[in-house]
Amino acid sequence: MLSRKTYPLVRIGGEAELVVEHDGEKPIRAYLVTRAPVRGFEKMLEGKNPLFAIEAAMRICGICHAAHGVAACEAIEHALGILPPRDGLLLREAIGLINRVQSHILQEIMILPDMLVDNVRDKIFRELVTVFNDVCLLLLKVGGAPTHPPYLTIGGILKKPAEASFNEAKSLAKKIYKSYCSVEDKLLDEDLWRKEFLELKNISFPTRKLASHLFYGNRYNIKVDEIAVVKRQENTVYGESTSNIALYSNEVVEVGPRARLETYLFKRMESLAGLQEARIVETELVLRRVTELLEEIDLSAPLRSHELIFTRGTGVGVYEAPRGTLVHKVKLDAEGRVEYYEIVTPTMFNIPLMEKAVTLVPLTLAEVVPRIYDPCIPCSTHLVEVRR
Amino acid sequence: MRILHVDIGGCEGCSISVLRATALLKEAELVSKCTALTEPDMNTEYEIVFVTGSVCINDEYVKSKLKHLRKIARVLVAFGSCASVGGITRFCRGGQEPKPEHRTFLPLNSVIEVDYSIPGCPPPPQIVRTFLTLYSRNMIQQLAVFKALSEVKKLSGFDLLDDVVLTGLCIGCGACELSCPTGAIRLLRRRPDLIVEKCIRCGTCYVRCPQGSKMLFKMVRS
Repeated sequence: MLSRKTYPLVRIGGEAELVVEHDGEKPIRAYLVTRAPVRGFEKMLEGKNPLFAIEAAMRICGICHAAHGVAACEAIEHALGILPPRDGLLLREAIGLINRVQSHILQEIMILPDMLVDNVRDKIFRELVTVFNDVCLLLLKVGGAPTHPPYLTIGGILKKPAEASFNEAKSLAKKIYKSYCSVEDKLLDEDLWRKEFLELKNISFPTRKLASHLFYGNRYNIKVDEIAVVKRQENTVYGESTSNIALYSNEVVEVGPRARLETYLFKRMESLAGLQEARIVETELVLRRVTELLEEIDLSAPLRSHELIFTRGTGVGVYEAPRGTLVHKVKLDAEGRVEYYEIVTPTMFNIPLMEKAVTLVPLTLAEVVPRIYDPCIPCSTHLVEVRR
Repeated sequence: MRILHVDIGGCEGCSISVLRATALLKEAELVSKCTALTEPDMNTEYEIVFVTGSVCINDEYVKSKLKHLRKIARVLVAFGSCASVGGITRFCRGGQEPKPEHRTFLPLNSVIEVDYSIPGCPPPPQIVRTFLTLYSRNMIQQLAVFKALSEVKKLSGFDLLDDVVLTGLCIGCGACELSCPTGAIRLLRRRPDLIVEKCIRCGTCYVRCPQGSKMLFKMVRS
């Protein structure tokens, strides 16, 4: 006879519960039940101007805001046949990557109590919060705001950052990279890990991976038509859940930092702890890329396409958000207004894997597994069923 | 001072602002799902409760949670535009799977009594610190604008145009342009012009406008 235990999940983005059916020692089945209300951004965008779509898409999530902004820009530009100028694209890439660092560091802050022993945790918490605040300041200088950066727009970048501010951003990026490297060494030092967390290193969980790019996103690197959004199997546990799940070629796939590192850098980290290690390693890699990008951008060059004609069209934006592949699809009507909008978020790919991974660990660690996958609940509740 | 932070369905951007403002603060103890080891205790009283996100009135779970928060809060603060004036969720129209019945999102003061409202998308962490300082020193005068906002149920660039610009009260200072988080306001001939398709109804421009805040007090008094 199986018992059922419900864990209200803390230290994740949004509100969710993990329901575990167990035999007293080991979880046998697990269900992730999300509780955030469905604000329904896809339906909200119908009939609206594409410029509103960018602002609204960024407000789907306060953690991966720029990722939604970039994916929405990409989708609308694809629909209208617009290609932003080189430096506009580079600046957009930098804004997206700074947001990825923000999200990763936030997850690292939230998972610290599960990961590190008590005597070092507080010190590293303070260091990470300081780095996080610096990263927010960097996004303010480069993107116009630390959350929902307003410089992202259709056709490139809305406003050129002030030169003095941009130069400060360059030195700030270097400072952040240096500070993060010192924290990274501590985070990856297994001597500082809690005994329970170290156990996750021995639990192998190989999965099929999906990633479209290491730093940005490319609609041609994945088969977008193979993505399907489905309702989860009928089960009373899911009754109040506000999320669906996403499959690729009818299979469950993993998206996110580990998938990107494996697909593009051939780094294999198959254990459950490996997912956390991949996120830490990727943060450093991305910070290095940000410093390179900021040096590369020429602010005197055009940052936005000069001619924007809003008309009928269909487009797809694929972007590598912090948690993995993010897809925005748009259809515009004859006046260029949004006729149909659809969003597939990375957390929806990862939910079935989280539920499976919970069954591989001892019951005492069940609650930790979703945190390693870093679910983003505000994002995950904005899927529309693909049945039109 | 014990502070509880609860999100009832926002985007988490405001949660990050609260976290950034209070994580390293010595004078206050923040209890939040973002940092807590276990589920925060919801059966004890807190000095201040920051609530983020607007309330979906079609979701009984969220409504009962909000009413419970009112009971355990000595002071309840609607933090961010969604919680204080509805913000972007004013545009929600429901009909989306898997919960098509989630149609209407309203500011917190439509369901419970709110003590202070701090709009912004999201409000910067500095405003949390300022609020806490003013509150701990009992500086009622300086908190009056947040108090007045707690009575308001909607605020946007359209209200700014109607109440301040079209009535000729605008002095052309540009505070609205600087404060708008989406760049929906720009000054043309020293008068604010609203790019309507970019306004997300966050109300930040109205609060920052020197004439707008006077109008707020007037509105509340009437």
